[in-house]
Amino acid sequence: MEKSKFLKFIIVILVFFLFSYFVAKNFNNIDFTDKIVFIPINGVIVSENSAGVFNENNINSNEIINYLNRANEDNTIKAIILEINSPGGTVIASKEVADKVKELNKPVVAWIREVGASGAYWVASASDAIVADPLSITGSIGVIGSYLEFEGLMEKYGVKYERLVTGKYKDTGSAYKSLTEEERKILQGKLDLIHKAFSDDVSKNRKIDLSEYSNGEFFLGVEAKEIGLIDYLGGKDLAINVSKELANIEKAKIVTFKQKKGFLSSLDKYLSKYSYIFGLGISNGFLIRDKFEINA
Amino acid sequence: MKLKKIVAPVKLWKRVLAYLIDEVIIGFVIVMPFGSFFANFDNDLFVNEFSSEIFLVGLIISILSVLYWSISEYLANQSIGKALVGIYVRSTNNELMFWQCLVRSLTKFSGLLLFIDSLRIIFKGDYQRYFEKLSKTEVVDGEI
Repeated sequence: MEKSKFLKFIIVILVFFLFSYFVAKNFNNIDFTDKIVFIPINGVIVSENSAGVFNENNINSNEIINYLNRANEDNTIKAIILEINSPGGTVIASKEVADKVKELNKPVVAWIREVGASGAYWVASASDAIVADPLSITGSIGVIGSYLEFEGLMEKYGVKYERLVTGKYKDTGSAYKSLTEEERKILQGKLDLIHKAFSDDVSKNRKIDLSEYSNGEFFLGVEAKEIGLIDYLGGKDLAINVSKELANIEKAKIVTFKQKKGFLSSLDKYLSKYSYIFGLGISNGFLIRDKFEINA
Repeated sequence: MKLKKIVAPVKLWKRVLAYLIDEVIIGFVIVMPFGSFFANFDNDLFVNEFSSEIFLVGLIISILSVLYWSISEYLANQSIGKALVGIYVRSTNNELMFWQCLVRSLTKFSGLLLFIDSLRIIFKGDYQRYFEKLSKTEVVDGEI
């Protein structure tokens, strides 16, 4: 290489390096230590065992709790935003998450998007502030245990339920036989107990009397604001601002927890989508469960 | 700078190798000073939300990269990568002007643009990019 050309290259490298170095100094000084983390809660909140291998519309309570723990342990995270888009979930799974939210030692803001109802609202109520769109669906403080009962159908086809139990209430809630009045009373009693625990906890979290509103009715954001079920009407930016205010910080890097997807998870997603489309036509009429389970 | 001798039309492997060498140099000279900034975003737990700072730094690095190629090719008819593999840039009509160097390097602003620009290399045997034709320049293998 010619000497003059070599010199030109050296000058080019030096000039670019120095220019980059001085420009970079301005950016390298930006303090990104403080973070606000988004934790997505999308789909039905279920406990690990009921999550199912092929159901992409569920979110495991353990997964959410794991995120919350990690966010709580990370000192650079100053506030947590729960990005909620969930119709609710099983009682225990919802309660587990709500309890964990209360344990956290940093500000938590719940941002309800399309829907944050029932068990998902239970989780939201445990946070320090709730932000929702005026048209978001929220509330629905109630418990459901409805299911399909096939006794009549089975009789029609000559199928008989051979009842073999020790303990007269052992098969209470079985889809193959009708409930007796006594059984109905027992199940309703359990639902009432769960409902009371749910309603009391939400009342305590929100510091309001919910007796008038904990009847399972859902509320739009505007209504919920009037009742006191939520604190602010707005979207993502407001949720970030509220969390900054609660954390007493002015600037923060906004991050979202990565949801790692493995091969099985991707396969699961693919299969469930096709199963869903295939099953949609025949399943629209069967919106009630075919076994007894309690959901909030 | 006058053309002394053209040994041969450029070979594809030389173009690719020269580009890779230049990318490494850009990595050290232009990107590395932003190392502390990027370290803020190096975390396998989080997905970073879009931020204006990331956009701005990306823009600065892309502009500086385009200028690195344009200036070095204007000053020496070669970038460092091209010099190391022995290939040159020349104008197809007259003396190489700065605007020509700038136009031929514009697509190096982003990988996607460069990929689209380089599609011509697949279809034509002279291994020249679309923007090289547009800027009336070509890369030759030989001595200038």
